[in-house]
Amino acid sequence: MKIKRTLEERIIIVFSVIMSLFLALVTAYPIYYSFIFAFSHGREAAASQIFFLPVSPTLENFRMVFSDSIIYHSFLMNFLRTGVGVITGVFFTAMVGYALTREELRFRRTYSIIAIITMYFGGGVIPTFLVYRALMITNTFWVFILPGMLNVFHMLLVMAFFRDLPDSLFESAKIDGAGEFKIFRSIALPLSKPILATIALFVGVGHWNDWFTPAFFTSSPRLQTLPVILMRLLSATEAQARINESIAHLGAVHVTNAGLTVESLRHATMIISILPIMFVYPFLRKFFEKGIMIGSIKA
Amino acid sequence: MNKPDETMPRKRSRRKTAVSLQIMALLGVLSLFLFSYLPMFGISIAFQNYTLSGGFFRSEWVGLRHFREFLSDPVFIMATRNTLIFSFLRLVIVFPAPIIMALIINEIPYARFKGAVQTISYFPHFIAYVVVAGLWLNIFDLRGLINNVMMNWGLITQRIDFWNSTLYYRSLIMAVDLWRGVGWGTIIYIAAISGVNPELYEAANVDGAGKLRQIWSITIPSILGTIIVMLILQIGGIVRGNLDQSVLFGNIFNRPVSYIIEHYVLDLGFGTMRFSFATAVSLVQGVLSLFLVIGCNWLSKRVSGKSII
Repeated sequence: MKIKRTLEERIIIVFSVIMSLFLALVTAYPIYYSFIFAFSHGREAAASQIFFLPVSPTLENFRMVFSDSIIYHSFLMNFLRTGVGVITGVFFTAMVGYALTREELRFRRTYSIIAIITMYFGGGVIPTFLVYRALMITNTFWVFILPGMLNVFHMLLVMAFFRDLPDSLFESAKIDGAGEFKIFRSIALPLSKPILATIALFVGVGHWNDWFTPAFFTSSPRLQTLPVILMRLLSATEAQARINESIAHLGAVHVTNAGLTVESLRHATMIISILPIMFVYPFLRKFFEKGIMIGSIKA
Repeated sequence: MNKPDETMPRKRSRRKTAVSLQIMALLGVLSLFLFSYLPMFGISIAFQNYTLSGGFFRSEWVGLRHFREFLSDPVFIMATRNTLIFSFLRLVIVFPAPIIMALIINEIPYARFKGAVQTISYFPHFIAYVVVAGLWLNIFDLRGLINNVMMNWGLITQRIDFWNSTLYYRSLIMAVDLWRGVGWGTIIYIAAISGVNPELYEAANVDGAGKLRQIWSITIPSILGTIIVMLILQIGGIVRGNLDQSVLFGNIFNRPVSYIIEHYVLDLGFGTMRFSFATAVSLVQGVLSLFLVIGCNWLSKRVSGKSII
C-alpha cells in the first residue's frame, strides 16, 4: 500500500535529508582532505590548492614518515602499548568482574561499592602524578598499562553478561573439581566472547589515542607514542626538524624531489594514526550501539 | 549415614573456592586502592607545602595558605572566567545539538541513507584528539583550506590568522566540539526516539495532528527523561572544561580566551613544580563543579520534576 504524504511531511523529509547530507559531508571532508593531502606531492599540493583529488599522487610522504626513526619508533610503541594494554586490561577487568558476580564471594557488595565510587571521584592530575611517581611507575612502560587495567565501567558491562550465564554450568564444573580460576578461564571467558570483543575494541581505541599519559607521565624518548609525536609535529619547528632528519637520512635531493613539506608530513602522520581506527571501525560500529544501550540501562 | 561423607569434601572445596575468589577480587581492590584511592587521599597536599624531597610525610602543613593566595591571582581569575564561559556555551550550543540532529535523522525514511549518515557522523568520536586538533589547526591555518577558499572567492582581501587571535577562538572551538560530538551524541537519543510507543503517533494521526505537531507534542516529551539524564551525566564534564582542547589549540596569542583552570593546574604542577598550589586550585574547581551539578539537578527538578541525585 502506498502511503500518500502530505505537503508538510514532504517538506520535513527534504529538510531532514539535506541537513543529514550536510552533517555527513562536513564530518567526512576534513578527514578526506587530510587523506588526499597525505597522498599528494607536498609542495605541489600547497601551490595548487587541492580540494577533491590528490595532486601528483605519491606514497613518498609515508615513506618519509616511516624512515624517520623517531616517528617509526613511536608507531611501534603505540602498537605495543595497545596490544599489551588490551590483553591485560580485558583479562583483568573480566577476572575481577567474574569474582564480583559469584555469590560465594564474601564482601561482594563492599567491593562493588569501592569500585563504583571511583567512577565519580578522582584525585586530579597532580596527586595522581605524585602517587604514580611514588609507586615508581612514571617514566616506565607500566604507567601505560597498570593504572587502566581495571576499568570499572567495563567491569559493570562484563558483570551484567556473567550474571546471565546459566548457574548450572559453574555447578557442574565445580563437581568435576575445577577451581574458581579454572572455571573463569575455561568456561566464563570463552562464553563471553562478544562482550569481551566489544570491550577490547574500546580499550584498544583508548590506548591507541591516549596522548596525555606519555606526554605528562613519561619523559624518556623511548616511551613516546604516536599521539605525542603528532602533538610535537603540530609545532612548525619540530616538524621542520623531522624534515631535516629525513634530509640527513635520505639525502637533500631525494627529499626535495619528493616535495616533503611540514604540512604533508603532518597529514601523513595523522593518516597513519587514523587508519588502524578505520580498520576496526566496522566492528566497533556493530558493537557500540548495543554496548551503549546495555550501559545506559544499567546506569 | 551417607550425608556427612557428602558434605565434608564439599565444605572444604567451598572454602577453597572462597579463597581463590577472594584473591581475584582483592587484586582488583588493590589496583583501585593504588591508582584511584591513593590519589584521592593525595588531595590533602593542597593543605601542605609539598616538596618532592620531603614527600607526603615530611612536607610542612600550611592550612589554607594556598587557597588565600590564588583568590587574588589574576591568572586564576582569567582561567575561571574562560572555564565558565565555555561551560555556558557548551550547555546552550553543544548539548542541545545532538537532540535536534537526532530528531532530524529520525525523519529520514530511507533506511540505508540513514545508516550511512550515522556511520559517518559517529566516526570523529574515535579519532585521537591530537589528530582532531591537527586537522582543524590545518584547515583554519593562515595558508589553510578556509583561507584559500575565501581568498579565491574574493570574500576577504587579507588572510585571517584564525587560531592566533582571541577573536575567533570560541566560535572555532564550538565548531570543533560539534564536529566531534554531534553524531556520537545522537545515538542515545535516536534509541530513545525509537522506543516511543507508535500508538501515540497513530492516535495523533487520527486526530489530524501534523508531523511537526507530533514531534513537538509526542516525541520531545517522550524523550525528556533521557535528555535530563544525559544532562546530569554530562554536566560534570561540561563544567570541568576540555583540557585536551586548551592544551592543543591554545597558544600564546589566544591564551586570554583559551586558558582554562585544568590547564593552569597542569602548568603549575609540571611547569613550576608548585604541586600543592596546583592541587588547591584543582580542589576548588572540583567543589565548584559539584555545586554546579547539584544546582543543575535542582533546576531540572524544578522545571520538569525529574532529577537523578
